[in-house]
Amino acid sequence: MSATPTPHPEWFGHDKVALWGPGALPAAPPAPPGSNARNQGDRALADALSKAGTPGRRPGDRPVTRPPKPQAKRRMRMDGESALVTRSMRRLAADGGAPPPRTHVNPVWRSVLGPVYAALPWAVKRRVLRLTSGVRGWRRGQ
Amino acid sequence: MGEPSRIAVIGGGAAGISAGSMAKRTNPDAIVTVCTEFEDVAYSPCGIPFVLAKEIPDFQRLFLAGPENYAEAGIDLRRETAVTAVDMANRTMTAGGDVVPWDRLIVCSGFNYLLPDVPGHDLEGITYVKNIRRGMELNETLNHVKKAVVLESTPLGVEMLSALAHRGIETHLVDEGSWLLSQIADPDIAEPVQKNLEELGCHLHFGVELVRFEGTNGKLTHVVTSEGAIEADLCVVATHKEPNTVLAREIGLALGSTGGVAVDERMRTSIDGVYAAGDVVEVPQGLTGVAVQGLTGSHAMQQGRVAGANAGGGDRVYNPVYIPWGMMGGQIQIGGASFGEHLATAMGIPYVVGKAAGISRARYYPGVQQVIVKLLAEPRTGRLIGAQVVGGEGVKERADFLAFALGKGTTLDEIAWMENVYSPPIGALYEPMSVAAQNGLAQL
Repeated sequence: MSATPTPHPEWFGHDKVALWGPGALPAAPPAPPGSNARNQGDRALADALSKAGTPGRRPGDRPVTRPPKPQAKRRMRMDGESALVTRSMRRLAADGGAPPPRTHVNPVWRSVLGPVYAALPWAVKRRVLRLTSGVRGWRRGQ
Repeated sequence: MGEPSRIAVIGGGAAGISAGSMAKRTNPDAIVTVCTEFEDVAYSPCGIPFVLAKEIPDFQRLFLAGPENYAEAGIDLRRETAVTAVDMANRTMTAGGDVVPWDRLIVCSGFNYLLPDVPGHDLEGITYVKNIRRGMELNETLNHVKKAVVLESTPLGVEMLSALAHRGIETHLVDEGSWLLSQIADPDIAEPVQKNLEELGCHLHFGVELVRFEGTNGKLTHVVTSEGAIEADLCVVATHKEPNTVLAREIGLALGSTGGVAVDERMRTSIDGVYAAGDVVEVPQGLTGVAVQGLTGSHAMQQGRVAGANAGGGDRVYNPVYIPWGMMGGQIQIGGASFGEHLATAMGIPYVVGKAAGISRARYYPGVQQVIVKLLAEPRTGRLIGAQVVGGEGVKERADFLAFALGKGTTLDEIAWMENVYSPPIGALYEPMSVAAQNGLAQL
């Protein structure tokens, strides 16, 4: 089968109004009053306003999380990325008169692995990045 | 004829809804069930900051469809229905107490913000912008807010800074980084946005660490930083988008180096018959092959379409990403594609820079705006490796074009000699991207 995407109309009509109406613009106005979408918006607003300022938990009121204990490859990436980004930011900040970053950097990455990585030629770095990225089953980009 | 295929989708955001819709379209006989723990689907969460800013007059127009539309399309949409367990042996999932069988499963469980793990993080007044009904409630709360803090200058953080300032609220930014949008933008490109936000009255604190939240009677009163305490009735947390992999980990899906679910170009996970898409997955960056996660709504939607088509029996692929991005910061547009100088420096990618300050229309045409383009290219070949743009208008189209050009391996020489639209109301004689490329060629 072909992997080439073929055009498909969207399901629910926001493309069907494209190029219609006086002057043909805007191409996709918001859902009009009385439409299913608008009715759902009205119901949602009425519900939210009835709850505003009242106590109690609701879906999506605290969409926040502690990350799970990282696997080794994530730990390595987090520490490496933080060290390399901080190092670059510190340099560019100094050039532009901005304050230094306040990020925490793993000391091993700051003093050993960061400088070692920096000393590698780009061709080697690129191989290291590709080998350690964990990405499998993708065609290559440019 | 055999039994119709059963396709279950976990999540009703951009990825989940587009996956369910595309699965049904690809295989109209399939039984498609979409479960979301939230009240609404098919709305634009990205529009919420602009309603809060009162630039969009109401929330209702952010809705694109109602639940009735999905019923008419033959999709079993179950709202306020959390999926609490997935039985891989029997290929079923428990959703709101029901056992839902599936032959193909698509995991689109999205993201949560990274918890600012300091004392006081559960005080009332610490707020997140993600769900539309909670956004509607926040809109009411903002009528009584005098002082607010935004935590981190991510794209959402910057949009919320603009929104709060636009509502006349004294607004502070607290950011560990050295400049605005430092995770994605270079300091010279972010500078016009930073200045504009300051002109709008925002107080920007960079290189500053969050220490704790303080409150009285359970309600936030101060955000304490390494540089002192900031009085605040409200704090908008706009931290990193952490993939929501709770179910994915229970199922046993392989995770990648970002913590997101590892997928291949057909959005297949490590387990046969299980797909994933959206903010929960990681995909490779086109230039380096490095996995990236937490992209934009348009990425989530396209990934969902690919996952849905393949789960429905089709054969589609999703390509490595070059990540065009763009946004408003205050009254300025900023965007780019792939790497800027900062990230290229961090990764050790060699580059030359071509930069130019051009204009968006003919210089004499009313409303003409400055457009600054910065291109990064490989020193030897001149092949484009990244771009950033800031200006009054025309940033989005340039970011889209440059991402496409990056994917094609375009060189500075090709951009320097490209054709461009010249029409006084919409384009200047000299295209700023072309001028930037010419300046870059001089560095090769």
